[in-house]
Amino acid sequence: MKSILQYKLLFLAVLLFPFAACEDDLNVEPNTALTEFDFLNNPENAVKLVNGVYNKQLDYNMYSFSWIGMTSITSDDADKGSTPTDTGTDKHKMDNLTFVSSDISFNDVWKGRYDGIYRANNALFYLEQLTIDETLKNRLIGEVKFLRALFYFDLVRCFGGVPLVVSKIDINDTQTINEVVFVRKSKEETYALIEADLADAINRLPLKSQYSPNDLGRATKGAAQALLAKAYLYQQKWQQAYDMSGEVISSNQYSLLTDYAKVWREEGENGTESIYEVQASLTNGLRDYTNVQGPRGTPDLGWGFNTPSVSLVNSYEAGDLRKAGTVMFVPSTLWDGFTAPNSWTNPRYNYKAYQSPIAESWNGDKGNTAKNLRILKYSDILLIRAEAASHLGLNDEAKDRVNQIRVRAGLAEVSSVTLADVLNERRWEMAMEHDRWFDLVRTGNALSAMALNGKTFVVGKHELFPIPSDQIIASGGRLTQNPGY
Amino acid sequence: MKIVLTYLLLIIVGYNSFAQEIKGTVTDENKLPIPEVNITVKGKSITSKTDFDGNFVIKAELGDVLEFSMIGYDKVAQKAQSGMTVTLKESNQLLKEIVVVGYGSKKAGSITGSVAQIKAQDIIKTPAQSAIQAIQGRAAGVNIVTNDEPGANPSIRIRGLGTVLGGRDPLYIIDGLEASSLNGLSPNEIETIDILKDASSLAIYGQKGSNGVVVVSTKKGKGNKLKINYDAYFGVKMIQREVEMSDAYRYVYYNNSALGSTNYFNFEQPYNTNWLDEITGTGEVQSNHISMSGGSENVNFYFGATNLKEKGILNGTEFERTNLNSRNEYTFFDKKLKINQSVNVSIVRNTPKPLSAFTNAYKQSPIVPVKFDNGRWGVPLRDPSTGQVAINGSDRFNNVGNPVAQLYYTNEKNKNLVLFGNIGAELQLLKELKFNTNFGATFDWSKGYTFTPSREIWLSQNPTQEAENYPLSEPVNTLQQRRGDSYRWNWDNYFTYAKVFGKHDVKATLGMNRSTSNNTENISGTRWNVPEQSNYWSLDLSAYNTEVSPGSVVSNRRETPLVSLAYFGRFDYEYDNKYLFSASVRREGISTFQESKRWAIFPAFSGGWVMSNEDFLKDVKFLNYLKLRGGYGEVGNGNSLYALNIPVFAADYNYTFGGSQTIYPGSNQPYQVDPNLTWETMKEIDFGVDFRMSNNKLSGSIDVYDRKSENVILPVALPSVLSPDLVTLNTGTVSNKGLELSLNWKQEINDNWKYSVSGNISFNKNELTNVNNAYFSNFIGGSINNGQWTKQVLVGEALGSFYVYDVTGIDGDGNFTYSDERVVAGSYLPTYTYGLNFTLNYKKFDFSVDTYGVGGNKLYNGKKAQRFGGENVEYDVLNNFWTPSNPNAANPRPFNEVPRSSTYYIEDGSYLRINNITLGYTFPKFFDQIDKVRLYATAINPFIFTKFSGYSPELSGNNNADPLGSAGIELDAYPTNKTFLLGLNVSF
Repeated sequence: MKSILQYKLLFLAVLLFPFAACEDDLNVEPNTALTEFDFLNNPENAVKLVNGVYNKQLDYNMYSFSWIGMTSITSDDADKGSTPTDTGTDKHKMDNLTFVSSDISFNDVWKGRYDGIYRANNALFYLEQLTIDETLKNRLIGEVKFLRALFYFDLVRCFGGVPLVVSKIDINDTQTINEVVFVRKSKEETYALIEADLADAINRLPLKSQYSPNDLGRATKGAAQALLAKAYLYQQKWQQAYDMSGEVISSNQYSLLTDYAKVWREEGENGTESIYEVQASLTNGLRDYTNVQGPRGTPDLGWGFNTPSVSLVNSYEAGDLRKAGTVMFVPSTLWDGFTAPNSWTNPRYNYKAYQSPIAESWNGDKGNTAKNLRILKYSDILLIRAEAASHLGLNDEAKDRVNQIRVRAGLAEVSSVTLADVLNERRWEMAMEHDRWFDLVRTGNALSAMALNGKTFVVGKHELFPIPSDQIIASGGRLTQNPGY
Repeated sequence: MKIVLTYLLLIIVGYNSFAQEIKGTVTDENKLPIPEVNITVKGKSITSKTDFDGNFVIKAELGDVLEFSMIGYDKVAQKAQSGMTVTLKESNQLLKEIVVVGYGSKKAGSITGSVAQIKAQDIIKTPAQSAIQAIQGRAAGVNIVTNDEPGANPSIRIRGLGTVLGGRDPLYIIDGLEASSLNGLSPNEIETIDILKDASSLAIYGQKGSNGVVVVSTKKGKGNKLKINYDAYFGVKMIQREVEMSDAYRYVYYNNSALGSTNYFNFEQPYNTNWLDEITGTGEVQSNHISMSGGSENVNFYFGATNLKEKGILNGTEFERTNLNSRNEYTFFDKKLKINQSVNVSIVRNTPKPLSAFTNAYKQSPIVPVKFDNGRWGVPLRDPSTGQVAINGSDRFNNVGNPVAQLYYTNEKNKNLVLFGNIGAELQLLKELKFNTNFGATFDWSKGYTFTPSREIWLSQNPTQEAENYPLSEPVNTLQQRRGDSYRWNWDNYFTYAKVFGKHDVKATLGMNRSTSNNTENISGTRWNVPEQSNYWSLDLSAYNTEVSPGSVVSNRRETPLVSLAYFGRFDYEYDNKYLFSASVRREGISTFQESKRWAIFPAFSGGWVMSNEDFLKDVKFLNYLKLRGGYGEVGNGNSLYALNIPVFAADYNYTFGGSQTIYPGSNQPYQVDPNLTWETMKEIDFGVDFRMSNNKLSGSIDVYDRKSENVILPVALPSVLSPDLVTLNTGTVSNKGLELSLNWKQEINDNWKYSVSGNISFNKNELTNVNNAYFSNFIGGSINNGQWTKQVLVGEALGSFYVYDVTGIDGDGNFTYSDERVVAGSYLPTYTYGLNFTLNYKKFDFSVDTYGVGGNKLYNGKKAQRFGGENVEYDVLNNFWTPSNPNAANPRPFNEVPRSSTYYIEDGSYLRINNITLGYTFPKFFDQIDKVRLYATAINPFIFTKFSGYSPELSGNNNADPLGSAGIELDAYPTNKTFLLGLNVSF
């Protein structure tokens, strides 16, 4: 009898067992991504976190269609290209300077940079929580600060003063969001942040030659100095621009390539002239940079946008090797032996964006190519030095730097240079490299240059692009619009 | 101690030594068992109830008088004797139904919530791949959008759309097994479908119930007789409505006008292709079902096998499904213990084809041939010297593919094996107390491949090129292989206590539920250049293994499972069959949310008053039954964008470094989370009336409801510096208010003639009433593949409302003028749906007509907006377009550019459709062993009445009828079919 009793009791216990089911079951481990705890547990993740910031530069909303439209199609160096019916959504408005704040390019470029800033702030936040070697941490912080400065530099050039977000922000912290994320700071404050980030980066980063070869492509001391020199130039801080570009030159880390045309080819990637470039490889390529600008038609290499303008073609001096290095003429035989046929839609294409399908790394994926995007190069620094020198009255220095550039371009040396000569040299040297529009604006030459191109540049308005209307709406109207929009 | 143990023992085995046990069965006049009959021993307080098979056990002495009562049946008193059989006579037929409620069942008369029941005969009447399709038009408040693509699922929305994210589908419970669809279950297997609609019925399902619960009971073996059923049908399918396109002449006329030319295209063209005819044909459907069932005293069994084969109207689409279902029930210990078990296997083979072929057939010019005379595929190339289409023409006049070639070169096959089943037990612990346990699980294995002959496709697009001109750097072909599996299970345990004393009827349920879902893993790989014969299509036979793009060579993903744990209880009380009360509560936790936000309590209560049982209404002759009922309940929805609401670090944010350009791993937090994210709660008040009158000939019910989904989980785009990817936040309130009315009339005129008419109509008003988050803006959707979008989530409007530019007129150049800002142009969600069903029986003939209609909805004619340059246009456009002499035309001047999303493409989506006309004949019994032989002919969707100009006003859309997807937009949509079929039912 007793054993039956025990049996029944056990049976009841079995029935009740499920009711005591474990609430711990609800603590599920994720299978799709690492938790914060597991991530911070592994010091190797410090480098991955920083690599993730670099990775942002490959995205479509960084240097692709929208950026090309805003920085190049707007200028006198390039036309919209492609077919008349293919507007690229708003690229015809970029070309005609009839853009409005709701055009998607502005929102795209804005979001791309702030996504990068988000990643940078996030990386800085978690780097402090990872237990890693101090030297490495120091360098990684320097790299992130360089990248953050680069993102802000794009923003300040496009939009003027912008909200300055320098730390990870809790999405429920409404007060900080309303006071920081949704409030534009002045242009000066924005540049001050860029300068501070770069000064810090310069202190932390090694020279190009001090990096291991496997780290080629990381931000260097030289890159931070070069960007700082450029930031000074944009603020017309001539002396500082002069000094800082001098630092880069005297570091002896960089020199000009002999052949200008090779700077943008695969052979020139990370060459001696390269100070900083976006690193792209097959399967981890730069999204749609070459595709947007690739020749359109049969065979189909791209969408055919951002074609070099007649104005640019006609501006070169006779014998300037840079013309052939910049402008692809159709029809012709290209440097790699590829035939540019009449069946292509446009008469000219951006040669610097050409990705050879026969002589360079190529796997047929047009939207994702291995071409590195040159952000800072030695010739840029020489011209910054020359421009600053010219403003400071150091005409010999200006002339020497310009002649360095001219000789490489196959042109005769000049005995003296004016500021206008330096700026012309800059146009030719940096053509189709996304600086022309900003150069025209900062030097006050935009009105006349645009007029020559039949476009109306409205002074007091077109110096800045409009703040994207979507961002103003999202801020509840706290973000202010730029004048004229 | 010993006393306590003995006491426990008594509880368990029952205290049974004083009175004798009387056993028996209660059946109706047709000898079918009646469950849930109340039995009392006259003069004593001993009560009992019959079980599901009508059996009962009661402690009484021989000679005691037993009283049997049940709503809907006349009371019977009979002297107790062992093995007694009691026959109850129906007092009114419509109340005998048992309605399944959460974790139990109730007599239809005792229901206090809003539940719709559909029975087997109505489900198999509309032969369809999914049983859900057959419900359309039969249950008020249940909006079903069907889709005739072979293998596609209809979308089902119960009482409107409460949210935007994934959790829009109801929960399916198949014999206690939780499922996300009825895939894998042949419609022939279903005995009843109960749709729980109101929150007071749903609250016991907690977080899973906010979109309604569909409870499916399958057929079981019954009685002692072996029964065999055979059902078969064969049918042909065709497109219900075609859209007439321009022929070559009209095409040339329109496009020349668009180009401002008179001879860009020559009016004399060598070809005149009707592309829709070229890509479609007559479809076929064929189904065979056989089942065997039977049982003995302690065992019941059921075995069914179904094979469904379908050839779609789009050339090359095929679908085949085989289902094997086995269900058994065993009883032990004098029926104190019942064990039931089921195993179901479903094997699906599917050959889909891209639905964009329909859009391409719509757009491609009729002057392009399917193939040129030399056998090469037709392309839109024009010879400028003749203005005719020509294989070596130099001008490509549109960018539309050849849809016939597109179908020809699509090689995709998918196979799917689903295994699901459950095992459960019911233990009668005491006369009043029973314990149920049920474990159900579903395994799903899928595999598939896509073979893309890239070089052949290139040659089809470049008809003057030869294979040797194909770039070497490009793949000759690519092969993708896919494998996936998923697993979900649930385990329910509950006690039910039921007791009748005097006029009081009390029932209490207490239990728990544990479930895991989303246990899914997928793996896929893509490689280049395998041999072109399909027997060699494995990745190892690839001649070229370089990666094409990240992740495409091999990708593998394991989803994070969703776990939930819940405890629930319900108390039902009835007094004198007049006053009904029910209350339930569920406490539930789900793994998605952070620990402090994980648990919630979902309460509900409801009551009913059977007024017709009151003395003051007893004498009202025309009124047979009248019940008022009302209830309130709260139900949750725990579906979020991410399986776990925690910050995570995702991989694959890689970057290249070094002279040799090596890719190094990178990491990023793609999104931030709001740690406060918690349940979306749906609260609903429902009032209803059920009535029958005129000798039960007329019956009906009316329901009004007001449901409010609070803390609706919406994905919100924050400024990217806060979170680049969407963050899910509790933001917003969605309201659905509605009225449901159903009426049935049933009459037997004489022995030969019987007929019935039933109709239902439901109204629903859907509105996003409030959003309490400042970031919520620009939540747009309804992309139509031309760079334009058509929908936006807007406060004060229905979810998925169209938001487009209003066409204000036509300017002097023949172009549309538009409003400055977009305007709300209605929603694809209907504001009312209705069904009308009619049956007529004359002797051995049966005839029925089912209709279904919707109204108040708008549709976007997305295929018509696919204009880039040189596409074809509809025949009717040519009848009335703008010219200087026709300035008030309905259509603008011929144009060649992407049109703005505008009200021009918005059309009225109302329709009334004859869903089903069936004529059947049951043969007289010609052989003793055969119970029934019936032959029937059915026309499905033979007629439709609508103003919509497209193929089908039923557009369920992509991504499970995502309100911000293509729901309500006709683009790449499969046209509705009309089907004519012949069928046979045999049972013996």
